[in-house]
Amino acid sequence: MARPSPKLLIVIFFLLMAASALVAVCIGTYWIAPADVFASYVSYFNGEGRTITEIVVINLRTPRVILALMVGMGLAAAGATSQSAFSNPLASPDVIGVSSGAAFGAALGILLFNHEAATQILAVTFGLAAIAIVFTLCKSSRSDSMLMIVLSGIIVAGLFSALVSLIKYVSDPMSKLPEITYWLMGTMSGASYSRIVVALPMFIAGMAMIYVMKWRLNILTLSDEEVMALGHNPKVVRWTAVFASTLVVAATVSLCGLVGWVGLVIPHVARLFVGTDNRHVIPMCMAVGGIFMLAMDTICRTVSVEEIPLSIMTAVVGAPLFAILFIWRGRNKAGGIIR
Amino acid sequence: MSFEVKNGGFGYGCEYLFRNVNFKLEQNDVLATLGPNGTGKTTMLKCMMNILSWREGGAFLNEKDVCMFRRKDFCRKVAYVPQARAYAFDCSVIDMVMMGRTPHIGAFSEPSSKDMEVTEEKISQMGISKLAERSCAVLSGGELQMVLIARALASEPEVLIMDEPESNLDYHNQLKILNTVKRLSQDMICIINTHYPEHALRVSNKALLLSKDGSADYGSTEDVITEESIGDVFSVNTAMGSVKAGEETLRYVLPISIR
Repeated sequence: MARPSPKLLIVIFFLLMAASALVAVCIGTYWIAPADVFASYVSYFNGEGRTITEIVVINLRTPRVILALMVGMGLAAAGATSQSAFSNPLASPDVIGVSSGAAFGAALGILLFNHEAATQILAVTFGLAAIAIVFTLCKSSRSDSMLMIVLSGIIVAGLFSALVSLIKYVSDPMSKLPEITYWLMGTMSGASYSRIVVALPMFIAGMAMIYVMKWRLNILTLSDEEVMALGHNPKVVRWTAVFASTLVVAATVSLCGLVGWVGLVIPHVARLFVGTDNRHVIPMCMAVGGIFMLAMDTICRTVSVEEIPLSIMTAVVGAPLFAILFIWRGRNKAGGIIR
Repeated sequence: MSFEVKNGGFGYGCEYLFRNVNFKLEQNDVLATLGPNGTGKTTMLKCMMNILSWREGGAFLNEKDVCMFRRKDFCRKVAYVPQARAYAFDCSVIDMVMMGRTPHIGAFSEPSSKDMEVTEEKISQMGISKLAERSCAVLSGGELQMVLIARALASEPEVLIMDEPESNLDYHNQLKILNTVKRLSQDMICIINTHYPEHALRVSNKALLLSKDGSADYGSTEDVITEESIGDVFSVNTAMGSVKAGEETLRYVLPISIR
């Protein structure tokens, strides 16, 4: 069976992503026709009057769509990066405790300050702190074998989850607790440009690192000796990859709370289309992740009057998707042809 | 080109695995290293690759200490074929071979069309073009070994170091690998580890015999591999014989009983 080239598929999926972004802007509490959406943008940039439609498109739906795209692209790319870095197809950024750290930071922010940016900055800080602790543990045990990184990650994740529970326990059950709980389940409501801007530098830095090193991610699936025999220091390459995905994950958690499953499932979906070469997997992850997250968020904000927490939706869709994927792959593997 | 080890020694803790390893290889030389399990054959290859540091002495490529090379420059000249193992990720053969180009590719760049050409050339040189799109996870042992050799060749090395390339393979694939080593040795220095004295006798002109007390016997393969030396090193009684196969006379070592 002739297969379309990975590059063509990536272009197609990016076009699909753009199309779904447009559709997502149209969908909402009420439908806004694509022509009206365009008209809103045009009149906004011309600085003309503010109609309701314009405000909805520019201030509510557009930032939300941008946020969904960022989070989807970021989590999927970071997931693929972690899977390569730990040469484990089941790894995700959660493994090394980044998400738990960031979750603790955000919960702390909600408990102590009633300020959005503070919450965001604390989330990022503790996400990075988590990876710093993992790194220090590995350094002081004089081993950064993959096993040690994963063990340290479990230690750090366990610690931060306990601290999150502590915060939930002490927080005011009438006001703060629901907010924290809701946030821990992930949500994109309250998306705003100012929020995005806070996280953007880190997000872009991490994504740029991943994008530049995407081919080099391939060699991380080899043993350390083989990596050295190919002229690289495996520790440097591995930690760079881990750090880059940490930046991205911390940035996304600071934007919309904890969103599970995307980082785990989407890379596998992407590989289904373009094979295992990370030069293709990373861009494909970005496109598929963006589309997936847009779809999930659009469902979350439209199916009921009350918004559904994002993590519930990604798990409800992601878990069965993962199962189907593995059954399907298992059956098709007999031929031994990748893709 | 030349590859030399002077007074090489390595060990863990206060014990030595091996000491006083000396050899010098020139163009067209094939060195076979033999020795019982646990005498540090693989470890020595890693020292030669500068993956582990020698405790004593050192390795010299073209008269220059390998520690003095930039890692990347060194890896362009000396390539390593590890013992074949299963990989956690599926990876197509062509992607796997392409990884061999890594030492030639800048830190912020990706493979160019020239790298692709070299990759395809090495794949066809190893006779595995049919496998190019296959997943490494479903290859047979013999096929995977050919892929790993192709990957090493992709860096266009002067020295090729192979860790037991023909172990765990059937007769047909053993001979295929040995013929490949023989053919490659016309263009580069080859160093292999092996458990089979007859393979050493077949492809190598130099041999290094490691024994459990850490000593290393080096010389021409004919001199080093004898009934007595193999018997002593492996603690077995052996018989050596030869058979005529057309023009060639092939020699073999047969283990008889445990000493």
